[in-house]
Amino acid sequence: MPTASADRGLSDVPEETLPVSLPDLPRPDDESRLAAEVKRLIREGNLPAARDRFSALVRRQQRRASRIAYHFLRDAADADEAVQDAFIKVFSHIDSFRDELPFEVWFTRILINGCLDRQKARRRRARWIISAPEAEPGERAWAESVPSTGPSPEEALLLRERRAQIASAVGKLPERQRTIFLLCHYEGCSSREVSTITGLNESTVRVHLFRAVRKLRSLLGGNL
Amino acid sequence: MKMDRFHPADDRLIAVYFGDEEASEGDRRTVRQHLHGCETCTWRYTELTAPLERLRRDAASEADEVFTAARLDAQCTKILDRLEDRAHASRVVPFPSASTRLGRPVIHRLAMRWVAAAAAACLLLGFMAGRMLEFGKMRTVPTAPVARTAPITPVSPGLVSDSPVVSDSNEADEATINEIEAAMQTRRIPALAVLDEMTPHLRPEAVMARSMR
Repeated sequence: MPTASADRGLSDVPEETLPVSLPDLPRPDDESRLAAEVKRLIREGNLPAARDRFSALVRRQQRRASRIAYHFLRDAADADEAVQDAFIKVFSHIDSFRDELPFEVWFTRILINGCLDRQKARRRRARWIISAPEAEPGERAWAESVPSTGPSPEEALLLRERRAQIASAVGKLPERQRTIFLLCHYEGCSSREVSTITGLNESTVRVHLFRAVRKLRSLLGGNL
Repeated sequence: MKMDRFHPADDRLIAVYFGDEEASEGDRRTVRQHLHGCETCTWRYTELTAPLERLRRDAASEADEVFTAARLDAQCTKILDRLEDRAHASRVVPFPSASTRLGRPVIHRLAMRWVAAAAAACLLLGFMAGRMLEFGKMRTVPTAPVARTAPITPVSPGLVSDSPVVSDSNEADEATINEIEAAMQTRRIPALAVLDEMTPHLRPEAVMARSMR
C-alpha cells in the first residue's frame, strides 16, 4: 500500500505551532522546517549557511524528485537537469515558500511544471528534427553490449520489454491522467496532496486516477 | 453500508487500495471486513491491486537503477556548484566615462553635436570650392592646346607657303594637313600609286571648304 505523506514523520510538530486556518493540510515536516530555516538564513544574508542547510534538503528530496522526473521524461539526462533546475528554482524563490505548508508539495509542483515544460519543448523539437535511423538488426546498442552482473539475458530482455510496454502505456495516457497516476501510484501521494500540487479538485483527481487505472488495464491487458 | 449483500465495485476497491481519504475510516473498515468474508471480492481485490503494486515496484526499481547513489551525489554537487556560481555571478561593470578614462574634460553632448555640424559644413565648403576651381579650369582649356600645337607649323615650312591661313585655328589645321601630306609625299609602294591617284586629295578639298564658308 502506498504511504501518503500525511503519515510521514509529522508527530513531532508541536500542536500550538500549527495554523488554525489550515486544519486539513498535512503538518509541516522535517523538509518544511529545513526550508523555513534556509529562508531565514537567506533573509539574514548568511548565504554559506543557507547553502549548507539547503544541501541537506536536496539530499532528502533528490531521490524522490529524480524518480518523478524520470517517470515523466523517460530520459535520465533530461530528468537530471529537470531536478537540478527545480532545486535551483526553489533556492531562488524560497522567499515565496509559506512555512506552514508542506515543502514536499510546493517542491513537487515546481518540479512537475518544469517536467511538463520540458515535454512541451521536446514535442516542439520533434516536429522539426528528423529522427535518427533505427539501428541495424545486427547492431546492438552500447548499453546492451555492456556485460551485466544482474539477471540473465533472457530475464533482462523480458524485464526491458515489460518496462517498455508499461512506459508506452503510461505515455499514452492524457497528460492530466498521467500526472495524477504517477504522483498517486508511483510516489504515494494522497489525492489531497495531488489536488494541492495540480490545483485540481480532489474529486477530479480521483476520477482521473480511476480512469487512468482503467485505461492502463485495457492497454496492458494481462501484462498489468 | 451493507457490503454482505452488495459487492463493492472495482472503483471502490481501488479507492481503498489508494487510501482514498474521502471514504471514512468506518467505511473502509466495512469494505475490509467484507473482503475478509467474501472470497470472490478478495480474489477481485487481489487481481486489481497486485498488478498495480508490481507496477509501482518495477517503476521504483527502474528509476533507482538509473539514479544510482553515485549519480545522486554528482547531482547534489552540481546543484551546489550552480548555487555557488549564482552567488558569484558576473556583475555588470559600468562603461568607463570619457573623463575617468582619458582625463580629458567632459564635452557636453550638445557641444559634440555642434562640432559634428561644423565639420560637416567645412567638408561641404571644401567640396564646393573644389568644384568651382575645376569649373574655372574647364573654361580656359580650349586655348591651351592651340598654344601647344602652334610650334608644329615650322616643321615643313616649304609646304606651308601657299596656305591661306587667316586665324590661329586655321594655322593649326594647316599644320596638321601639311604633316599628313608630307607623309604622303614619300610613296614607297608603287602598287598603291594608282589607288592614290583615284583618291581625292586633302588639300584641294580643304581649300574648297574654306572658300565655301
